[in-house]
Amino acid sequence: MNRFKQNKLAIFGLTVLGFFVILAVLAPVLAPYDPSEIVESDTLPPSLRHPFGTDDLGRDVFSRALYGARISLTVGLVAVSISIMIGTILGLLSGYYSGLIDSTIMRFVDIMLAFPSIFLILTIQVMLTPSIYNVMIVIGLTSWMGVARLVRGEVLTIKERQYVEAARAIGASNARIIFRHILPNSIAPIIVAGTLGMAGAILTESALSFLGLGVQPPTPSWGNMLMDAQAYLVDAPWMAVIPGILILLAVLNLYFVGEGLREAFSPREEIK
Amino acid sequence: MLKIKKLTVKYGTDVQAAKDVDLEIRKGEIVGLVGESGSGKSTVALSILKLIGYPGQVKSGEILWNERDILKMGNEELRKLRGGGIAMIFQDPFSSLNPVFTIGDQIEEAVKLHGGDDAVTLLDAVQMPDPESTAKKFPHELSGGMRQRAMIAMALAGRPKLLIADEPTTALDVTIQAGILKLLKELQAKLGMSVLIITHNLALVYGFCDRVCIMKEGRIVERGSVEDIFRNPKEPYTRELIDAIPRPRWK
Repeated sequence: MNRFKQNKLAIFGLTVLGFFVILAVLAPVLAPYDPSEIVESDTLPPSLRHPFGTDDLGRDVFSRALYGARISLTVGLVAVSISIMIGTILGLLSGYYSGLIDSTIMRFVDIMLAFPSIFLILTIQVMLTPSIYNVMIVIGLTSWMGVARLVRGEVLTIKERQYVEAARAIGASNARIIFRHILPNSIAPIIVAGTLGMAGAILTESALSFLGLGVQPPTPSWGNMLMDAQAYLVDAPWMAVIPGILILLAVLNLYFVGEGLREAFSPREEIK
Repeated sequence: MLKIKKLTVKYGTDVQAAKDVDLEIRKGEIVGLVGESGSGKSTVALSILKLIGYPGQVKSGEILWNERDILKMGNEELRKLRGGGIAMIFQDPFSSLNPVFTIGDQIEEAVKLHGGDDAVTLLDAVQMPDPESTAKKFPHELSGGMRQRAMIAMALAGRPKLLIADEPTTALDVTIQAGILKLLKELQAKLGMSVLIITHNLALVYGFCDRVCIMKEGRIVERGSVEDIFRNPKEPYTRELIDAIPRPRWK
């Protein structure tokens, strides 16, 4: 933890993200207007009354950005939780039971990775009704492969450690060895992967919403705010710039935190 | 109590780590299994708990525990045997404890699986200084000798009838070694269990074991009481091992 604290970039990232989370949680209190209410004439530039201006329908962009943060961050968090859960369980099984189970799971991972994921997501989204819940689930279901490989690799080294053999020698069952001895020792890379994965999930959500198959209007998300903006890039650039910067900041700072955690957990930088 | 009959273990297709090994351990007895690195002594020990992993495979033979063949036991029965009937302590106390749990938690795990005393009582039994606060410590906070004591406490949790000690003192300082051996001997006498001690150090066997088996290249080449082996070694290899014990020469 100390090494994480010494990483200024990571601390900065954590602060910005914390700030975002507070804004998202307090959105109903902080937002001056209802995000879907038409409050003024359209495409007004930023002013004191509307700090981020208004959009093509005359809605307050600041309020929409606040509510959009809720959606985008939630989608990121839930999607990553799903992918971490699937990836960790499959990775644990694959690494612990070598042989047929391992080959089956890893070939399945290869198949999933061979699909261009954005097309896979789009296809599924077209078949289902696009809703924010489907977005979370679909992103989660198509992004666990990296985690599974990572966890498998970790398990392969940990299961050869002597304390695993010692646990077996006192009569611990396979399930007990996997979840009590191997999982806690491989948690560090999982956390790192989760942080970086959340950045990816936010980007995917934005891309999906931008393409119109993600979060549906009038619910604001940073992605569909961008989509609304594309016709007004010249007349109302703030409509695109604001959500764009927010996505950039969220993703960039998640990477800072992820890298900070990775460095803090990495044993080879122990001596300093 | 434990009878190994014609045990043959292979690694892959052609490496024979144990060839026709016969070994008997009676109740309350301390048996030493001595040999150089690669002689198959650990292979025999792991076979007793059916812990030989891929690519190792028991090719033939029987391991009878109270007349039941361990090699034919199902998973459930094996789990009860491991830690309950037969416990094992390993060579390296630095890597045998899980770094993310406290000593107490790890001992309690063995207790949970087999019943028995709580962690503090067990730590007290292995003469751990200040057992209460030690139970709350993590493995990296303990010295090698203390860790090995914690391992022994874990092994004792299930009140085993046989304790297999695979090079229990090799990773420790000479002075600590003596302490651990003394402890093992005291516990053995107090609990009436049998001990199979595996070592490459013949000197350690003297004054500790009742009987000794000498292993070389997967075979038991000589066996007998400690007295016989030291006074009257029949195999040239045993003599070499005895000669390899360093003795101070005073001038």
